[in-house]
Amino acid sequence: MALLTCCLYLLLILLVGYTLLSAIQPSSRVTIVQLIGLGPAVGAGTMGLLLFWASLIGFAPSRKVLVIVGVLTMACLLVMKQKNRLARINILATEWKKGDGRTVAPVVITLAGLVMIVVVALSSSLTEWDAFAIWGFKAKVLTHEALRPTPAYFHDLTLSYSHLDYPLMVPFLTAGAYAAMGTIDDQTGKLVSVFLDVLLVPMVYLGLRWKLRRLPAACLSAILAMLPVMFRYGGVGCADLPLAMFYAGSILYVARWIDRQQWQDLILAILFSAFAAFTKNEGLVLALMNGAVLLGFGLCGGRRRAWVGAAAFFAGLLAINAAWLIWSRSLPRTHEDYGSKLLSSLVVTHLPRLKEIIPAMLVQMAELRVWGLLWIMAGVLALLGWRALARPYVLALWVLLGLHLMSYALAYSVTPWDLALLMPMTMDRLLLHTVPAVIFLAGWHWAEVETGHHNVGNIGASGAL
Amino acid sequence: MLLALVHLCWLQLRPESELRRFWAETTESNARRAAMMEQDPSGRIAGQAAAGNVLLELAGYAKTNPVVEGSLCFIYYRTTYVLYPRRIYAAPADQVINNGRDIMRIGFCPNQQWLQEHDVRSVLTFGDNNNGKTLRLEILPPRDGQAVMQTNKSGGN
Repeated sequence: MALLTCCLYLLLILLVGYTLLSAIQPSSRVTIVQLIGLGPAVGAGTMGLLLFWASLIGFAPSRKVLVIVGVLTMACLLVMKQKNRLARINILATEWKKGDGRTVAPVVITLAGLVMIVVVALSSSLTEWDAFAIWGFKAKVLTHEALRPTPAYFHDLTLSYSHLDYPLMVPFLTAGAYAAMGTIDDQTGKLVSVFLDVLLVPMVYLGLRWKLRRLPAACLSAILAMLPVMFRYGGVGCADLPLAMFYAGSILYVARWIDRQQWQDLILAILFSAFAAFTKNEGLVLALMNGAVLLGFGLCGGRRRAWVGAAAFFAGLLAINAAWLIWSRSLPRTHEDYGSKLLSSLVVTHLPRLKEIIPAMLVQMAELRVWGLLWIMAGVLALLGWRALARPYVLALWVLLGLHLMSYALAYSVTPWDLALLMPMTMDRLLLHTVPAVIFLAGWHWAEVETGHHNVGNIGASGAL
Repeated sequence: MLLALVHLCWLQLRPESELRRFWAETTESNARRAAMMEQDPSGRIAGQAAAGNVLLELAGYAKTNPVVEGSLCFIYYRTTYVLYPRRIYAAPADQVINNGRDIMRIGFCPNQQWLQEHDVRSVLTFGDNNNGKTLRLEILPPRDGQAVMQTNKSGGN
């Protein structure tokens, strides 16, 4: 019964996502991968925020709240159906071509990897330290109490280890599952965690298919699904893969906006950036970087639309996350408090530590047992398809990746923990956040190599999401 | 690209791979599961503790030995998670706990009035013998007027 209600909750998330996609681009065509990847990703982010807002006004996640969300979603769907504005579902983005049959092998490998992650996730309760001490614990608190009045938990310094100030996307989504099940069952509740984690793969596939043929896009997606680091962190109940998933969406639509200047891309870039900012503190920094790159490329292009887009991006990001930013302002910071440290003079005084950090990051990237040949392959493909650097969206993604890595290196430089202990424990998890950008770059550079050899199926050409 | 994919598949087939670890976890014997349960006694503690909150007390070796910081920290984090909305107290609410060392540094030892105000009904003693790893749960005797005392199950100061 608990499993069934949890599945119904995930279905509700999918419906919320489909409704939003239909609202963002009425009467469009969505592919199956968009429906099962992009739809749930948008739905999950929206559901997390809705539960947070409801909790802020005094309603903890409950079946009643979920029923209200469900009824409102169904009402929106009915209205859109009557007005013929629902997104139509296409099985494939482009026609099945000769040679596409070989795509079956990487698809099977991808599915095998994902199924394994799901099975293992559901066969154990929360055992990863961060999963129960930070994310799982917060989910329990949020299930029991609404955020108005603020639960005692958020000001209890004896629980400081659970990072009282961390964003609440994953805890709220888990609390939603507990509410749907009517009980706190962290083993079945892991279905939500693993659902969010595996969504990374279709999100990355969508980004690759924007510029790449079906076969190489499927191969790169299979590489992602088979990464040992995916198996290590998939389904354990941490927020790293959900952050990577939302971040994948944000950079994909930032790149599309830079390339095509279409409003629906900007809206999705704003939504995914806001979701990332509400998932982990790193997400807020990444969201701001997305905005800075949008603005920078807008200024370089000199187009008025790009400027307006950048202003809309920051306004949208602020509007969506305003409640969290205001509410969390009074929460006690832990001794880590990277935000304050990165904005202080400490960054300058700790710069010499980069001599230790940057080589450690490079060594980690070359760790074959963790990453396989991913980083090496991405470098080789970037060299082969170097002409892609002339494309603004590729350049923008390189800038984003550079800023991303630099921000993590700087965060390590100001950490209060012993670097020799901290880096081996956390480096793979942090670099996991950059994987969507690395794979997109590998694919988009490869697409440049293929140009002239193949007629690349471009799902963006039809204006579909 | 294909080389990278084949290499990853090969990595997953190696004995020390995550995939193999997953397989071992999903097919592990009941005996191994029982051994793991023994390593994580939080569920047992939550089941055995009386209805109210729990006090975490350090004894003997565990008060000073840094070797037990990790296991102390695990017990505190895990029991906090499992017991919620009941609480396990290791310090007053204004003291920061980020690791096992903090718990040792604070060395919390509240008086009877504090215990009563915070509805503490059991004491979990960590490290009461020489190896500093033993856990002992003691149910406190009912206090006068406890039946009418207002409980504070969700914690607080």
